[in-house]
Amino acid sequence: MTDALDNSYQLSSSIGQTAAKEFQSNGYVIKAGFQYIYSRVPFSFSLSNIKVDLGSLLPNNPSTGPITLKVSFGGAGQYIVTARADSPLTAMQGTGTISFTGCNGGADTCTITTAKLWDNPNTYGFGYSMTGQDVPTDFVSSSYYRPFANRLTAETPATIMQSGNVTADITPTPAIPYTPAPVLTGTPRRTTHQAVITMKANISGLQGAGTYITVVRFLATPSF
Amino acid sequence: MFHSERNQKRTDKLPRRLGLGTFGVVFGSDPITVLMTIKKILIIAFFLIGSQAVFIAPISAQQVTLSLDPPIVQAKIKPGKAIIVAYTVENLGDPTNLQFLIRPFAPIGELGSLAPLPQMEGPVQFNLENADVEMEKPFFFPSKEKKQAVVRIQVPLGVPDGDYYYLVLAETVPAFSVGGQSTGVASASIGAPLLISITDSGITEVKTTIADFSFIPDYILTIGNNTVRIVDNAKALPVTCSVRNMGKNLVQPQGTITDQNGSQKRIYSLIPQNVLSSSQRILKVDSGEDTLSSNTTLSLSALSIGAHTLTAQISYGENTPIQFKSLTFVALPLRLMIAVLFLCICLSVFFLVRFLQRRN
Repeated sequence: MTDALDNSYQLSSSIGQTAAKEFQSNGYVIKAGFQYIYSRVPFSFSLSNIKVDLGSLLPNNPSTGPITLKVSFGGAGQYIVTARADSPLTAMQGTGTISFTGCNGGADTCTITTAKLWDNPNTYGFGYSMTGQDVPTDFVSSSYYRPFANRLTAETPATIMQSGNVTADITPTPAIPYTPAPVLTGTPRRTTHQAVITMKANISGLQGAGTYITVVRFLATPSF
Repeated sequence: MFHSERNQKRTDKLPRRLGLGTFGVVFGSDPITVLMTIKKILIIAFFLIGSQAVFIAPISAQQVTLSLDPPIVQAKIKPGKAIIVAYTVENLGDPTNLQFLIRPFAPIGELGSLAPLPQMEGPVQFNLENADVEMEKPFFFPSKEKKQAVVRIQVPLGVPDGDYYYLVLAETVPAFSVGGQSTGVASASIGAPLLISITDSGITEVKTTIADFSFIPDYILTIGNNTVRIVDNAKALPVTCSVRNMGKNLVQPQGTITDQNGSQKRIYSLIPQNVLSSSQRILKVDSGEDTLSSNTTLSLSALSIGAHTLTAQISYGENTPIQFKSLTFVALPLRLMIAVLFLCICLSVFFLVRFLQRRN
């Protein structure tokens, strides 16, 4: 099959016996796109801004900033968005850091995969909260936070948005024969989901003066 | 002194020319002068505000929007062969610096999640065929532009048969202009899974099992050696079906889940999603709804009263065996039955009390 968008490369969408013949003659078979979604809706990912300005941090006075994340995945069926920080918030001059939050502590100690309540102004650190579509269920309210996964310590990026449901609008073929692949037809839904990540930093009076910065890397991928 | 006097005269004339004067002058004048003055103030204010609205450009935060096509590529390649795949990335946001990367990934969990590995590894070799862009070298990417990453995939001779999974990534390079404020800088990456099966013969291994086919009944009755699962027909029944792939190649389960109640039969087609090598995945039917729980294959609703047989029939393409698994359950109007039972108890108590009262 010729790629509908780009005529320059031959991409095959056939499977079964034809694919076997093609493999024997060419030494390869390529399938592009999801075989059950006859669509070329590109997968897209959007961040409303690339900087969260936490302003001049004052002790015991939490500062927050949001980014809106949008995923358009009609052609992909399912997707996942992960986040990981390169490091804790680190002083541009010097070695001071604002470490990742543990939330309120005690019973409300959060981890990179479990959000907990963080509303105590006397607990310090840097973390994030999620609201909106497809966000993890542990973000019970906007006061629930997690620390970012830390790239420095090789922590696995945390899933912050995920749609486990396939968005293909498929008409099932009745009485499916099991020898060839079943024929599924349909029109994919152009689906866009969005969520807001709110980053929060809170410092103690002992925190050294300076400008603190870190990079948070968001990765959006269709599922396989 | 001279200059001061002249300046004083100028400043005296200016308000009069504008018709403003001082407040004392304005409010000391007749009402017509006051109205004229207010009118002039309003006209001046209108022009000042209007010019601000017209000439000041709106300021918005720098945003990133990337799209990638195709969203997934699956290739079956012989050792010693090379293929070329073109990915198109589009910048629908503000200008940014972008780079292309390829990283292996591993499947995580049963819902199709994946985690990229930090370093490139594996026997497959990748090169960008573009003349102006290199792998892992940032380039300027203006807004509303498209860029094609032409990826050459080379499988050296002697590579053992098996699957190798990669992510083709387009990643923005963070810009550090923080302006003295503590800042979280965001980097956006968009990735497309690249699933490579290396096989010399063209035959791939299918070694699978239906790992889970289950639902949670409302009640379980055990009569002798038989177990009867009872569900409330007024509630939706979530069913989970997952496949474990123990082979060295990915599989695409195809088939149906059938709910049979007497002569009534409802058939649900499974979506042929990839189950990667050495992983397990919860299968999905097209539910047409986003509210379906993530770890559920389908949700049966409006169940007919009576005995049901739920059957999963799964195949993995041509010349592969069909796998079956069945479950039975009885759908009953439990809520109605409980309500009737409660009513019966109430009536029995009522008549018993009346009977006892009459007897006394």
